[in-house]
Amino acid sequence: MIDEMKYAAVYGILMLGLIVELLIAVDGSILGAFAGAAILAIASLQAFFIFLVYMHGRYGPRPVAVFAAISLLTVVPLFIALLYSVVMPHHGSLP
Amino acid sequence: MVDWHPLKRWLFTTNHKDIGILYLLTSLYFFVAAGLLALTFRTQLAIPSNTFLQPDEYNQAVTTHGLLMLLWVLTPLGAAFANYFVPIQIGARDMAFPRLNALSYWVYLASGLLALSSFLAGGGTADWGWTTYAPLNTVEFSPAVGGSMMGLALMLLMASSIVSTVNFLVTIFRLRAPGMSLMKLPLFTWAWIFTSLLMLWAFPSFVSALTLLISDRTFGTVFFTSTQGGPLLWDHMFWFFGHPEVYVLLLPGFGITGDLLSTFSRRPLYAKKIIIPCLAIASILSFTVWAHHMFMTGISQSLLEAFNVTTELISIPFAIIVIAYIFTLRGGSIRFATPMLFAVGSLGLFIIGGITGVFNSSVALDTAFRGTFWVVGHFHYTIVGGGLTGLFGGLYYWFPKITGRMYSERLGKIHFVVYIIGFNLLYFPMHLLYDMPRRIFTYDSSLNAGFYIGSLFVGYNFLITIGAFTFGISQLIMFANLLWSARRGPAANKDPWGGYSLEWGVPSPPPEFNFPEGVPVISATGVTYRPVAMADGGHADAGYGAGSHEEHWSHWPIVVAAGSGIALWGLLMSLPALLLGTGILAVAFIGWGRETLRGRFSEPIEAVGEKWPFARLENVSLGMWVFIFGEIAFFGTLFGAYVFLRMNSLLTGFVWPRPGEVHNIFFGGFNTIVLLTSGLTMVFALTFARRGSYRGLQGSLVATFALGAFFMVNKAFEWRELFAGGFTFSTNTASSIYYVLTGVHGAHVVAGLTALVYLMVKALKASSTTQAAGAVEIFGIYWGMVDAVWVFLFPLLYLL
Amino acid sequence: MPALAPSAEQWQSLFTLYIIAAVIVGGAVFVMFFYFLAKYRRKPGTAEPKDAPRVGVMEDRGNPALAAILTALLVSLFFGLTLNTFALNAFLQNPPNDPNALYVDVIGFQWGWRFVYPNARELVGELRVPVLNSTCTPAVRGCWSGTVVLNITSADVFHSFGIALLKIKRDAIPGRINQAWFVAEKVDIYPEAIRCYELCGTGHALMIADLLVLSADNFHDWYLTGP
Repeated sequence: MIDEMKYAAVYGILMLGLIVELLIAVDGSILGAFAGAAILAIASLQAFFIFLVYMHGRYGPRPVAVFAAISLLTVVPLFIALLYSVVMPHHGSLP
Repeated sequence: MVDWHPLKRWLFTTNHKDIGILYLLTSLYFFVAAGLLALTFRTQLAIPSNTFLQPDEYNQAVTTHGLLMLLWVLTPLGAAFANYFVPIQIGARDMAFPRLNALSYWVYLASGLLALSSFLAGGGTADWGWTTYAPLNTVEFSPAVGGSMMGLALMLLMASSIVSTVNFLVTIFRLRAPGMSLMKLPLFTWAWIFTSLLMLWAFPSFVSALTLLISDRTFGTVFFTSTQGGPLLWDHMFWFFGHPEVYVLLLPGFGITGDLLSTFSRRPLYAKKIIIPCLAIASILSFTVWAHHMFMTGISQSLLEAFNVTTELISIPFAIIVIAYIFTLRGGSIRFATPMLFAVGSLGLFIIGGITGVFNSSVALDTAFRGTFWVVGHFHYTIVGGGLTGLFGGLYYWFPKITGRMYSERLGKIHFVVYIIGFNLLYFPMHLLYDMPRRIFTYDSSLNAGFYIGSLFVGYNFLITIGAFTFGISQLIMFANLLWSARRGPAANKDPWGGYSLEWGVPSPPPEFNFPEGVPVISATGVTYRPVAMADGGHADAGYGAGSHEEHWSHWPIVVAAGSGIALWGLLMSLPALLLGTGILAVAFIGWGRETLRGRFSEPIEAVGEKWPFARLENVSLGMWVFIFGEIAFFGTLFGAYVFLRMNSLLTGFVWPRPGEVHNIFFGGFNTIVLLTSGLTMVFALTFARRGSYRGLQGSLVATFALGAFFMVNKAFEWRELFAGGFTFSTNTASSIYYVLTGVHGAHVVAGLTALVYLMVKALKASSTTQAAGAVEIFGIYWGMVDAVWVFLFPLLYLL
Repeated sequence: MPALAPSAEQWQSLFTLYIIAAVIVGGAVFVMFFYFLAKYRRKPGTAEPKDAPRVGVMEDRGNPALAAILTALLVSLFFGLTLNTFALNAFLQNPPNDPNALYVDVIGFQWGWRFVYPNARELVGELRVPVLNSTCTPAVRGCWSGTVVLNITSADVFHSFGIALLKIKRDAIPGRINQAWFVAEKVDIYPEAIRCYELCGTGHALMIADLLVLSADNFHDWYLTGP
């Protein structure tokens, strides 16, 4: 039964996270500019739990986490560069 | 080999060596095709104001020359050797997934045929350069359907690559013989490991970019026609793939060069323990340099200066490898056989290309070089000089092993001399043409730089064309040599060169199962062979080499390839063909599934048969994880596109829809609950399977299927409502990215539901529920990923 | 070759610096490479080296210090090259703050270049600019200093604007305006000096414009006789 309880608990966390996200989206004025970041943080947490518990599979979390870290290392520069290139000043302007 | 009917053997084989030969012949065919295309445009450019090619023909020729050479020649040629030799070099009987291996080849061929058929699609094929810049790539500026067909051919090729990558990584990490530590692997296999990892992480960015492009061209989304997306969106996504791609092209040949230098100088490779980490560092750094292709785009100068620095840094690991290669020669007894000549050529030409690369890292010098022939010279020295030359060295090196006969050394040396002369005549003068734009179909005398011999003016362009023909003709010498020698050459023994890797310890050509004497066991003193009985009852005396032929053929890979090729062609050209292709695919998937359920291809490839069924399951599980990481890169780059579009909307005054303005967030939330609940039922299926509860397993699988299907029904309903409300594919970038993200995710859900049907049938048939647990677990990993992606999609699209 | 513009001169100096570094480093590497190839070629009658690889056996070899030494050498070299690159880049990217500069809008289209002057005068296929006039300092008004600032964009697809003689280049991207600048030091006509450097369709080779550097008076006369 232990496994079932673990999975049900994760499911509960996912549902809880979903509810909080919806609440913030509907009326997150207290959080102001951080509303978006908060929602994304909750989403990341949900993905993290799915990854570690639902997807643990035969190889367990550790080698998987290493692969995930390397994946992020390569995709993160893209994100940063994209953001930077859009947001930072450059010569000339957009019409 | 086996006395099968040749048709059955070559159409249905799953033996890695046969597949290697198929890749070799096909890639050389495309090499000739792409080379001839080059000769047409070099003829056009030989003299000013030439009229040999029309402008649109010229543009098609340069585009397809690039695409074919990079994607249908170089990497597949590397794959030919990887297929043939990586399993032998690691001491295995075959690849981890033989049918997938065959599938990779046939899909590659189908994609190549689709690419070639785009010439005939009416209006010509893609003519926008291999870099496919936006908005030239949009329907507005390039309406010909051939361009879209080329895009679909590329997608099909990417599918082949992903499957191949998964196969090689699982094989190399899981099927090595006893004593074959990773460090002991020859440099070619190491190079192929990094090539595979690069393909795994970089190709998905190309797939995302192509998804957005095909979506624009076929479904009317506005990614590349809008100001929020537009040219820079393509630029970033394409080059994020494009730069690691050049190392995908370089590494296999460059790795072979290392093994050749060591073998033919009769000395160990210098500092192998440094070379391998250098390859790793270079691979990681290759993802941090892409914007050096964007130095003139006007984006942030401080960002570009950072890329200037990272680009210089990436030359450091390569420089270390180059010096290590040169030091390998020291104290040696160098034999200048043809493979060694090509290895030396590969290293020398790469050094030149690498040096001009440092010039290209300079954001200031690029004001002259960008878009000129200097760049063309640089990348041909590195990719053709470093990569292709090394691969040709490999072809001569492995020719006696593959055919059992020796080529003519004299013709080989003549080939090398003409090759090197032709190469340098062709590519060196390009560096002197840094004022001349590239991809121009003609030029007048003011651009025709050159020199005088007496009173005769010789243009550099003319010299380059002479070089092109010389270089092209030199390859004919090789083809003649190898074709003749394959039939009539003198017999070769098993180790003509004194090689290090395991293929030199088996007969030439290797028998069907590679190691006739048994499992190779590697120790400090060399290789011994341990005969082992196979779980399938193979002969003890043939040991590791035995097994039934049942392992080595299947109908389904070629059928899947045919179905996908026909379906994609039909998607653009003919609805009946699309339906036919889809029907063939359905039949093939069902056939494949049934073949698996019947127990074929379930024998472990490794010698230690006692581990069945867990050995095989672990391979499939690792394969699924490798695939998942490709998916992370794919969805990651799509999310990157979303971020770019969203941030740009702030700057262009396009107001992104507010939460709730377009989408019903509660309906979306409800659907999220549906999907996440299917994730819960899926993990319950696993616990039931492990506990042997047949009804619990079946019930959970059915529940998962029902919830997943319900999710898709809701999605279809949502889409219909949105369309009715005026939020369509072409409304704006917010709608475009919404439909593409949910559409691609939905496609993953549908694929999952299809696999779930297979799983339910398997659970029905399994002799024990616990036996089904392995497959359930592996599917659960995939389904978890589908959930995890949605967990991000929902807030990004509905709540932010 | 006489100087046409500071951008060209400075580019040439930087290029020469890189060439010198390339020749020295490349030369050293090739000399060593060919020397080893010659010195260690097989001599008939001599035995193979003791650690010759054979199937399954390759000994460890090599000094890991190689990596550290090479890294240190290259980083130092790159440091020097990069500082110079960044200096030139700063020069090329930043038009001087000059009230007497000429601002021209450059619009690339399939297939040609259109130049729009501040007084709405337009030229297609020809860019006329005043030559450097050192007496026209910011303190003085009503003259052309010779500084030309280009606001470059595209009317349709991705083009790239380049004047090879002056070593000026900037992509012409629809929806963006990119800036480049130069000062021409010599009165002359440079036919076909301006070209497109990004494949933009069948007319890519035909996107050519002439550069006319006129004396201050001639330029001013031409400028005023329009639109």
